[in-house]
Amino acid sequence: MNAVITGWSAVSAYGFGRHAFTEGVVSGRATAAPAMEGAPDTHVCWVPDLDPKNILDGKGIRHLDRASQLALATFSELVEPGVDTGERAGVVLGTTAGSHQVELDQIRDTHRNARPHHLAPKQVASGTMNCAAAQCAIRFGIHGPNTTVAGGRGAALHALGYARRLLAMDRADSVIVGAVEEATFARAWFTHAAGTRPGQWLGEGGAAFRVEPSGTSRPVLAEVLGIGTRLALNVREGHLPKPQVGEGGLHDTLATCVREVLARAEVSPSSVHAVVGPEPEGLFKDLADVPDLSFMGDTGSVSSAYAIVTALGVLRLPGEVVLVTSADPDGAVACALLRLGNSRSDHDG
Amino acid sequence: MTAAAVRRVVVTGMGVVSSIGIGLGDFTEGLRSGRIGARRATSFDVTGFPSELVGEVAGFEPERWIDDPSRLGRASQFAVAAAAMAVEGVDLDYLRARRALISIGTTNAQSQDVDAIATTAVLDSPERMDPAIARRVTSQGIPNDIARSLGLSNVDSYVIGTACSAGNYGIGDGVDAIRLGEADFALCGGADAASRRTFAAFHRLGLVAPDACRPFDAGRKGIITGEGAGVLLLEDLESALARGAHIYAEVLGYGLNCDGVDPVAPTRESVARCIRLALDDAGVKPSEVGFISAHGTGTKTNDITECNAIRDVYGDSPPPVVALKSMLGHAMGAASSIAAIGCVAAMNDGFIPPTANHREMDPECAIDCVPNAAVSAQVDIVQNNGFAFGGDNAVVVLGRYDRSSR
Repeated sequence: MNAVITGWSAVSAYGFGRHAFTEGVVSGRATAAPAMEGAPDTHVCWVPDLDPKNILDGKGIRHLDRASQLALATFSELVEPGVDTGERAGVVLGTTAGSHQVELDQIRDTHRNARPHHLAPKQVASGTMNCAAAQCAIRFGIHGPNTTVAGGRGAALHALGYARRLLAMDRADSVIVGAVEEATFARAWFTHAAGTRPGQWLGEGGAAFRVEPSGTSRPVLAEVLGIGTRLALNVREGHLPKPQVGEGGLHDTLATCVREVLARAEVSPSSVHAVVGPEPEGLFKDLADVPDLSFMGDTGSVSSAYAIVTALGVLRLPGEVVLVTSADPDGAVACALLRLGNSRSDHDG
Repeated sequence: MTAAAVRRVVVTGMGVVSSIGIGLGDFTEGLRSGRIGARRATSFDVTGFPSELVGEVAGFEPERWIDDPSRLGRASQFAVAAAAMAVEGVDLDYLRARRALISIGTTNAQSQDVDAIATTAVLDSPERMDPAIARRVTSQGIPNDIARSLGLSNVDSYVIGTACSAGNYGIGDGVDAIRLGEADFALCGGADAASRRTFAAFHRLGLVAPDACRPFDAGRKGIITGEGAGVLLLEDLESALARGAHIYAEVLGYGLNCDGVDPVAPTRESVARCIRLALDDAGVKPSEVGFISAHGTGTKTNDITECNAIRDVYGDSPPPVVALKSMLGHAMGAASSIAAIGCVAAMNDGFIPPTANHREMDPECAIDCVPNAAVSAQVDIVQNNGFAFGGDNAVVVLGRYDRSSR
């Protein structure tokens, strides 16, 4: 069974929906805006005008963590009742760690309130990583497998691999795969302290795409030819990051991962027309230009989801093979080899 | 594709860190004797809370399995130690030459690390957060730490963050990856560390029992939060036989679904459907199941909903339904993976573990919970339930490898 992708959506610093994403990414506009109070940086690449009142019917959204709000906004443009709903439809949603902001707020409550367990009651359900995926299931009626995959920058690629197995084992007829990440005071400081986004503003957003078995009646935006993952073993020495070059470093490990996927899919490097994400050095020639996604800031787990929907919606390479890659500072590398379909995906224009 | 057409998946290693025992032998003895893991919490400050009991891991010596434990958060230490136990005796070069899935379920990931830097941020200044701790609060660090500790680079390594059923999700993930030939072996299960924030959240929901966890009991008052890790080494039957591995059990199948109804309360029909999905995937009839390891949290809602869902599938005479959380506490994302290991240990040693702390059966539950003392029994097949906030259900079915009916 080969998996195919038949739809996508995105909420980003360029705004809501496919059109805003495509237009913004192609423009290469900067998106940074003044940061939240007390942040370690002066700017953050916000999703502009994220307003709980405008998400679905607006009811009960305000109390959710921002990541869950972003997930619901992202799903709103993609979910088709009857296709993406019911017992045979699934959700596999990537994240780095859910909402660190809820965790920080709750820790503050444990220290500041009269009793340590006097947490804000409406925030408790947002305190687990699966809140966003579960909210999508509840609000849209998606009763099949519902899995949260925490995987750093490559989360959407790990999630795609997981979803492909669900389909291969006939556990679902279709799966919405994606990732969400929130820009909050807590994530700004945690990533700042960790030093994992040197020189980058904090970013946020959500992206999702529908994965189905090949043979679907819906137009195919891309066929998944292969997925690869590896872990670089030489990125941490004690508490300090090591240079990312050389054997066991991120770059070499990504190159190994990519070569393995190409070999398994029996695709030669010369057939790859574009790479979205970090490019393994020396493997490819004459690649097509790909827009720079860094204008949306460090979007964490969403960066790999944005890379995939960029391949689907922004690149104009019908029928060609595109490689999507990711490399996380903690060592995980991942890639997906896609053959783009001949369908146009920006059908909302 | 049906389960029958694909590779058979067997358990060839098990590592467990729990409040009632560390390592398979100690843990199994704890289960058999009905040992209670609840104790006054020491790994975080319980001053001011309505209770102080936690199913905390005691006597854990991480340096037995980890070269420099101070580099790892508590959840990672549990996970790495459990993984090391699971691969004990296996040639690491054999594993390094093969493709692996490392899929670890968790509710709160590096909870104590997050608590630590969040506390610095709110009581002192975010500028004084420890960078070393900040670097390791990404959830994926847990399976990555397992891979690094074993020198495994050819891996797909991530966390399943599906809260309190995540351990079963991890096991199911490993099963599918091996069935499909995407992985030669899997290290899967779950890990969680008790923390101040988790303790506060369950207290806020009114779900923490003041004295003991009493699943199915008329006087039950909730959970005892807990911690630990359960990691299973899974591989396909042929490779296990070829390398002469000891086979503890076969994972016959699993099922997963989502209530999609309520953020907190479970749904009877959906839980029943998940049980049916698991039994179908395993090719097992309800009459073949020797006992059910319940999610069995000891909350009012869970236990009634779960017992009703079991009767929906099994009829009015289900097999014994036991709740290991009565002994272990609720180890969150680790809970169902520790329970799965407990199921295998019990099958192999010929007993059904008890539901501890039991006084009087709730007539709305009305099952045989094997109260307070293990019973001897020859059991071939066990069903292991895991449910989570958000309505995320996962049920795993395990069988003795040498059972007669295979």
